[in-house]
Parts: sequence; structure tokens; C-alpha cells
Amino acid sequence: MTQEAPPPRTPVERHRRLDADFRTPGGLGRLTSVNHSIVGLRFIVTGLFFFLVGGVLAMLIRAQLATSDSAFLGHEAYNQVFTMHGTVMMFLFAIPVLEGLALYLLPKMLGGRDLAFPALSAFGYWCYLFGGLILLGGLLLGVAPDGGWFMYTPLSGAHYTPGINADVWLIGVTFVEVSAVCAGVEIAVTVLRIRTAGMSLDRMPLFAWYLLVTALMIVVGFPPLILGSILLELERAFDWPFFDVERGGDPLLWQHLFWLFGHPEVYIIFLPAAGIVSTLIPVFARHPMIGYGWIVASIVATGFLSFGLWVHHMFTVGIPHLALVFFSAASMLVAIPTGIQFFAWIATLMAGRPVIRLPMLYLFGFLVVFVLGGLTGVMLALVPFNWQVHDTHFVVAHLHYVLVGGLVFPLLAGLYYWMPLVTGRMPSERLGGLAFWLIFLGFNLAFLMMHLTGLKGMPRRVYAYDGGLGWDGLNLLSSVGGFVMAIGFVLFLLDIFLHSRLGRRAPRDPWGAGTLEWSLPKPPPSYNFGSLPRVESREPLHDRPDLARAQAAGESLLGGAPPGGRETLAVEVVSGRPAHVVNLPAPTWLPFVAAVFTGVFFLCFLLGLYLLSAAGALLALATFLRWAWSHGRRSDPPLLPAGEGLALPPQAVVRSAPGWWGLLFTLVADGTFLAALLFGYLFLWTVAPAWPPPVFVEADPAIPLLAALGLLGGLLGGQRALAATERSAPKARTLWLFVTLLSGLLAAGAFLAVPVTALPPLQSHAYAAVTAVLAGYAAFHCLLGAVIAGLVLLRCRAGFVSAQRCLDPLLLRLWWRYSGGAGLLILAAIHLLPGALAP
Amino acid sequence: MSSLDPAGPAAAAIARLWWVMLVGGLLILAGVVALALYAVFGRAERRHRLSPKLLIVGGGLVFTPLVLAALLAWGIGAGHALLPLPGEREPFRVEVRAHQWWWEVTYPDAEGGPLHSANEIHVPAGRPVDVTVRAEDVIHSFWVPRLGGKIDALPGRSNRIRLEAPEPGVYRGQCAEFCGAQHSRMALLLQAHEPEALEERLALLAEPAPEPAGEDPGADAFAPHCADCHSLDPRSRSAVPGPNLADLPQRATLGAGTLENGPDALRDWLARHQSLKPGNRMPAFDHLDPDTLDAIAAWLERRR
Repeated sequence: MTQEAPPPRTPVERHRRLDADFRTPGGLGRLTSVNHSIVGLRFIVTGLFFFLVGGVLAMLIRAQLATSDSAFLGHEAYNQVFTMHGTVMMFLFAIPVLEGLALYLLPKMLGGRDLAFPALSAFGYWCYLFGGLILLGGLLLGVAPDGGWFMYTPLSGAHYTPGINADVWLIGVTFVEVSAVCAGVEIAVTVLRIRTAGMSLDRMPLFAWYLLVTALMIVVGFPPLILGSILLELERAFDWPFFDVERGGDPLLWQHLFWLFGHPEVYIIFLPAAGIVSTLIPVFARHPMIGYGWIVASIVATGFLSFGLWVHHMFTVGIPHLALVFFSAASMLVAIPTGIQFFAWIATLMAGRPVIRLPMLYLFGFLVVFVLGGLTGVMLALVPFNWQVHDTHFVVAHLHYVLVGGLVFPLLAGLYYWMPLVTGRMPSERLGGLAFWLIFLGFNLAFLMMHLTGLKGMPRRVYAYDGGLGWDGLNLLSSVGGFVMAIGFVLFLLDIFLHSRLGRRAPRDPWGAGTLEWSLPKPPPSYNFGSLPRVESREPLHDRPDLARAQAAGESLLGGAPPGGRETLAVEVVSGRPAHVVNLPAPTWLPFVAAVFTGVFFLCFLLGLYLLSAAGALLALATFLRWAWSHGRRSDPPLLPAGEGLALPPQAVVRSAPGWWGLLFTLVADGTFLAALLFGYLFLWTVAPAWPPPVFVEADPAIPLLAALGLLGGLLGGQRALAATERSAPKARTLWLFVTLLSGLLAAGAFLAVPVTALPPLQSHAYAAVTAVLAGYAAFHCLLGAVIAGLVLLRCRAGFVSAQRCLDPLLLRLWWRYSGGAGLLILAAIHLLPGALAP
Repeated sequence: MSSLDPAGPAAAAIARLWWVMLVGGLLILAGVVALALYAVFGRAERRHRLSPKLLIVGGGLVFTPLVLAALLAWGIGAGHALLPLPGEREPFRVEVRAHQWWWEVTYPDAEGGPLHSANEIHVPAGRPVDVTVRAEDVIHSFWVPRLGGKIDALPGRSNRIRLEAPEPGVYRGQCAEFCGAQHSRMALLLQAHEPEALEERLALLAEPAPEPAGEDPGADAFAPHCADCHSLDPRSRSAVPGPNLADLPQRATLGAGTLENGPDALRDWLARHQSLKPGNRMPAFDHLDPDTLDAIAAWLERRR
């Protein structure tokens, strides 16, 4: 066993042992990589590739609009091009690149050898790549989505978009969102638990705070869009009328679900970028960040407020004025935490002795562009002004100022800043400076004009416009600016590429930063830290410039590096005291295989091959179960020596292991999904014109009774199975696991009976369709609860579970607590609400 | 089309908002940039004396909220004044139904019952106009920038917007919400008239076109090929939606702003409309010979 190996005697031996554990194999084995540095870089490089794709699409748009009545692109091509430009930039570039940066950097900044769930982020990467390829394939085959990146119904419905175009969007984007939710769970658990000793919450680099809030926002923000996409795809594929007014649906439901995601999305993109700014400013100001607490409070406030202002995208749909006033105020409110961050950055510069290096130039670009975008954002939050410029090129200008200012400039600054860490070489101040000025001036020429174009009445998303309306000259200038900016981006990529190979060798801490990632060799070894340092302030490298030597020598924690141990530290959430040792996974094919089967599910659904699609889903489920099987151990392990005289429990015997946190956050996402679904149900009921439906549910009273019985059985069974495990009563455990399994099957059957026996045809009215989705949601959870109970049963037999190693029944209980509660809520919504609300 | 050249009270109020916000915004931008430049390049001894807490609290918690509160208060007032609330003056009522990719226009209060037309709205100058907007297929948005803001046209719902043009004139509008293939070619013209001129114009719409003496090949061809979608009677809507053609010769444009109307424009439109406005809902009719198309055009044009 691992504990028997003596600690390595020399740094070289330690390096060999750790690298053997963490290294990614070569050849085809690359597909098995779970290493966060590799996966993070894959996200970044793939994201930058899609940035180029989106950029080429942008240039097609600007070429088309350079002159009035242009014959360069027809409406079919143009509508695909602008839809894909937005989709690619938002879903395939912005979020994945930032996720990649976070996955790459967080363990290095927090003092971990990898993330909480390395294999999960590998799975997320493949989902992202395959989903992106579906969208890209659509573009190459000329069947790309063409309804605008927010896909308003009924235009995106089957009647007005009969082709496959809209399905490509719905399925490709949902696939990519699976990856985003995985990354959200991953990042949240990593920041909360996988840090080094002594890194309490208030000693974390601000970047980690930004990412923590972003991750939680992803977990809560993406489910509404995933729900919306599923509903729209069900409507398109099976004619269930969620958005068809005639049959009780409502196109406004789509808008609400979309913007419930869509507005937080802007901050999901902005916060990590602001995290880059907050990382760089103190380094180049040569002064610790002023107002750390203010900034943390602002980040949290932004996270909350960003969920309260989605309606400002819908000011013109005819919502009562009082509601508009509320959302107008909320939209302005979000400027306050952003303002606080700006003043904290300026205060830090003010107090320091700033040095102007290349990344600072890009931060200057960020300052100017983002402030302007923020100002036009406040203008747009003003309802009457919004009525005038909504859906015009003014909005196009605004959103580019916000996104290019709030994402691209900080991102470029960050890429230059961390490039020496990744490649060991410095960028060129001269080429990088030239690229900056081209991007900055080109951008402003292109988009400053566009404010005016919009004010002069040019709507967005037109492929041709009449000459003589005062738009010609402005559009030409915008196109020229766009191409200048494109040249700048090419120079930037050239600079990064050339200097990552030929640049001057970087010293160990080239910018004079104080955070842990700069204590690593360049490029960092696969395992990051030879030993995990104990941290005593926010800038540990400034406290102890010899950290690198100490880590190589195995001082502090986990320097023992037992072969096959793949150890890193989990800490208590707030204090950062070491809690237990985490055993990270070895390279594995499972994430790739699971993503391939998930891809089969999505792709076959897209092509209308529903049987094959179901087969893909089953194979994916089987892979996940195999994956679950690979965890845990079959005997009770002793405490592990962790260095500094500490003996820590290994992950296998810990109740709040990362897996428990992972399931918790997954259920938060799941719960948001259900909340959005219930919101949709009530929204249609109260707002959609064609309600109430002609017929309500007419169920045999046995159906809800059996469902309730099954739900309670699952809840009780999960509870009792855990209790039996804890008191080492294997017979009782087996019994209760069987009870859970059968209860799950019973409840699932009772829920499925609702659409089969008790509802009018699902195509007839949105009421029937929504009720069927609610029942399907509950049935799915109960069925999965039964499958998990069966898995735990088998794992108990195989010896994975004991009174000490009780994570399996713990997870089962958590699953059933959620599913039981959700199921009872749904039961009430299906069977009681019609009686209570119907006339 | 420019909202910066307002021709009515609503658009003027919004334009005023814009100019004030522009000046205020530029001042704030200049202030922030100057502050940042000073923070980097200013004399160290001096800037180190500035209290950071003062900067964060003063800037972030006092200045920003004050500006926002003032703006919000002003904006709510301005917005309220634009709402179609009951007032002293009786508004002129118009109903607009948006289609892919044209506007159906109805005058519900016309003498002798509702009158239907398309792509042009005739209203009195100097009197508030309430436009009730809905959509017959996908979502569109009704927008005449020189007169005021926009309002979405949704299927299954009605929205109302109040506009007013103090002076007679022609004001161009356009669909603002992306609505598919020909979103770009979905313009409308709003014409404000003096009261008598408006009466004349609406009377012209109401009056049936003279029947030509004897057989007419155009009329014969119109009935089987066009009449399902295009009504010639301003008092009725066609079975399948298509623009009402009652006052077609008097309209300024064809194809919702695609083509300027004129003696030969209709012939041109019938022959080439699928290349002038590709994807529009009217079949190409290239199975009809050019003479038949010309005959239809001539017959429709008989009142010019």
C-alpha cells in the first residue's frame, strides 16, 4: 500500500514520483488526460480557435454592411452569419476561455496539485468540443442557426424555421452548457475545499473569490436556458406547444427563460475578467490591493443583483410601467458594486508606485472601453431611452463595449501576464504594444460610430439597408475600424505564438507578483507543487521568496509523495485548516467515452434518430456508473502522515468529501432547473392568453397515492440505509437499500402514468405539455434514485462501504432528500394546483 | 429615420434625455480617465496623501448612487409622460397587425366601419395617435423613430403606443425585432395630414375603384391567382393574409418599402419581386406569362 513507501530522499526523486503519477501519457493516451493544466490549456486554445471563427464571421458582417444594398451576402447566409457570430462568441469563446483560465490557474494559485474533480473537467472539455463541433458543422454545411443568438419563438419554432437550423443551436448549445455546469461545480468545490494549509477565505487571491461567485452564478444561471432549450426542442420535435399562443403557450416564456440566463451570463463573463484586473493591478501598482473586503462584498452583490434585472432586455414587450421601473432601478443598482471595484483599483494605483508594462496597457484599454460600455448601459436601463434605441445598432455598440471592454481587454492582459508562467518566455513589449493600439483604435472606430448609426434609426440584424438614410458613411467607418481591429488580433496571436517559442527566458517571478503560481518552475510540472506550502498572508511569495526551493525540498505538507497516492489537501472552508487528504484520479478513458456517448445522444436526437439517441443515453449512463464504481476503497485506511507532524484522514473515510460537495452543487443546479420549470408552469397559467385549458388532469386517485408512497419510501429508505451503515448492520442496510430501490421504481411508474393515462393529448395544450414535463422530471429523478440505490447495493457487496467509509449511502440519502422533496412539490403542482386554481 | 431629429413630443423628450446623458456620460468618462492617469503618472508624494477609503466610499457609495438616483427619478417621470393614458384630447386610433414582412393597417373608427390597408398609416397632424400593435405570425416591433420609441408586436397580445406628429409630413418606420428572412425590408410610412387632407385620403381608400367597361384580362387573371390573399375591398380582410390592395396606386412604396411606387413599378414588382425581396411570402408566379402579369398590373393601376 501507499503508506509503506519511504518519503523521497532528493528533490529529483520526488519529482520523478509525482510526475509519474500526474503525467499525461503520450499518443492516443492524450485523450485520457485529466490533468488540470492540460485540460485548462485545451479549453483556452479551443476557445481562441472559436474566437478566430467568430472573428471571421464578424468580418463577413462588416463586409456586408460596409455599403448600402450590398450584394455580398444574401439574407440566408447573412442571417446564419450574425446568429453564429453571437453564438460562437458567447458560448464557444467567452465562457470556455475563462473556464480554461480558471481551471489552469486556480490550483496553482490556491496551492493544490489539481482540481476537486479533474476527470469531471476533462468530461466537460469533451462536451464543449463536441457541442462546438456540432455548431461548426452546421455552419460548414450551410444549416447553421439563423434566428439570432437569442432564438426568439415563434420565429425559431418548427413552423417558421422548418429546417434543422434551430435544432443545431438548441442541441449544440445545450451540449456546451453541460460543460459549463460541470465547470461551475468544479470551480466552486475547488475554491471552497482544495486549497493549501493556512489559506483561509480571507487570504485567498481575489481571483479565486471572483471565480467562486462566477461558478455559483453558472450553477444557478444556466439551468433556465437549458430548460428553455429542452422545451423548445420538445416543441419542435414533438409539437408540444409551450410557446404557441393558440394552444396555451407563450413566446414571452421563452424570453423570460432566455434572459433569466442571459443577463447573469454577462456578469458570468465579466466577473472572471474583473478578477484578472484585480490580480494585475496590485502587482503593477507595487502595492497590495486596497479594499479587499469592499471588493469581495461587491463581487457577491454583483452576483445577487445580476439575477434581478433580466427584464431590461424586454422593456418593449409591453410590460406594466411599474414593473419596468423596478427593473430599471435594479439595472442601475448593479452599477454601484462595479463602481466600487473601479474606485478600489484606482485607489490601489494611487497608493502605489505603478510600473507600466505591457499588460497595463491592455488594462488601460479595459478602463476606457468598459467605462463607456457601462455608461451606455446605464442609459439603456432608462426605460424611455430604451424604447428608442432597443434593437438598434446602439445596442450592438453597447454590448460590444461591455463585452470587449469587460472581457477581451482584461483577457488579453491576463494572457500576456500568465504567458511566461505557461511557456517560460516573455512576450514582446513592442509587438504587443502595436497590437494593442490597433485593437484599441480599430475597436473604437468601429463601435463608437455604431452608437450614432443606431440613434439615426438603423435596426440591428438587417442584411441590407437603403442608401440615403444617413447610415452609409458611418457603416463604412465601422467596417474600416473592424478590419483594423482584426489586424490587431492577428498581431496579438502572432506575438503569443512567436514569443512562446523565441521570447526571452522569463525569470521565476517576472512581474514581481506575490501569489503562489509564481513560485512554480516554468513551465509548471504536472503536479504543480512538490510539497504544499503553508500560507500566512495574501501574498505568500512576498513573505517567503524561497518558496520554490522549499517546495522542491518537500518542506511543509504532503512532501512524502507516496507512489500512486496522487495526494492533495482539502481544507476547512473558512479557516483553511487542513481537513483531509484528497486522492486525485489517474488518467482515464472514462470522461472521453462518456462524452462520446453523450454526443451520440445529442447528435442522434438532432438527426431525429430517437432510438439511437436513447441508446446513446443508456450507454452514457452505463459509463457514468462504471465511473462511479472506480471510486473508493475496500478496506478502512489509517490516518495519513501529511508532514509537519500532522496525521490526516484520507478522503475515503471523510463524510464531507469533495464528492458530497459536488453532488450538493449539482443539486443546486438541478433545483434551479425545477424552479424555472415551476415558474414556467405558473407563468403560463397566469399570463398566457389561452388559459385555462379545456381539460385538467383526471387521474385515478391511486396514481398520486402510489407516487407519494414511493417518494416517502425513497426518503425513508435512504435515511435508514445510512443509519444501518453507520451502526454496521449489513442486513438492515441491504433491506433498506432494497426498499429505496423499489420505492424509486414505484414512484417513477406513478409519475409516468400521469401523461399516459390522465392527461389530454400533449399536443393539444401547453397545460398538458408542461404537466407531462413536470411528471417526467419527477419520474427521471425517482428512476435515477432507484439506479443509485442499486449501485450502492452492489458496492456494499463488493466491500466499498463500511461504517467509516459511508460516502455511498450519504450520497444516496442526499439524492433522495432532494428528489423526495422535489417529487412531493411536483405531486402537489400536478394534482392539487388545478383543483385550487381552476374555476 | 433619425431619432436625433425628432418630429413629435415623445421623440423630442427622449432625444433630450439622450443629449443630457451624453454630456453627463462624457464628463464621467473624462473624470475617471483623468483620475486613473493621475493615479499612475501623478507625483507620488501628492497622490499618496489621498485617502483610499475616501476614494472608494466617496466614489463608489456616494457619487455613483447619487447620479443614478437623479437619473432614475427623471427617467421615470419622462417615461410616465409617454404612456397612452386617458387625457384631455381624444386620440386618433389605428390598429397595426405585423406580418412577415409587411404591416396590415386598420382604421377602426372610419366612417361606415373599419377600413383596411397596408404599409402606410395616415393620421391627423397635431393630435395624439394611439397605435394598437399585434403580430399575426412571429414577433415584430413597431418603430417610427422620429415620432417616438418602439413597441413589440406579439402574437396573441395587443400593445399600445402613443405618437404625435405636430406637423404634416412623412415619417419612415421599420420593423425593429428580427423577424426572419426579410426583416430588412419591412418598412412603413406614417403620413401626418391636416384634418381635411386626412379625410380626403381616407375617403379615397374607402371609395371602390371604378370597374373598367367590358371584359378585362387583368381582372380575369386576378381572381384565380391573387384574390385569396389580396382583398380589393377596404372593408374586408382576405382569407389568407396578404396586403389589402384597395389604395395600391396611391401608396408611396411597394413591398413594404422595397420599391418606390410609380406607373411601371407594379409591373416590375410582379415580374421580379422574388429577387427584389427574396423569400417574401408571395409565390414567384413565373408560370404566368409576362402579358398576364402586365394585364394584372394595368388593371390594379386603373385608378392612378
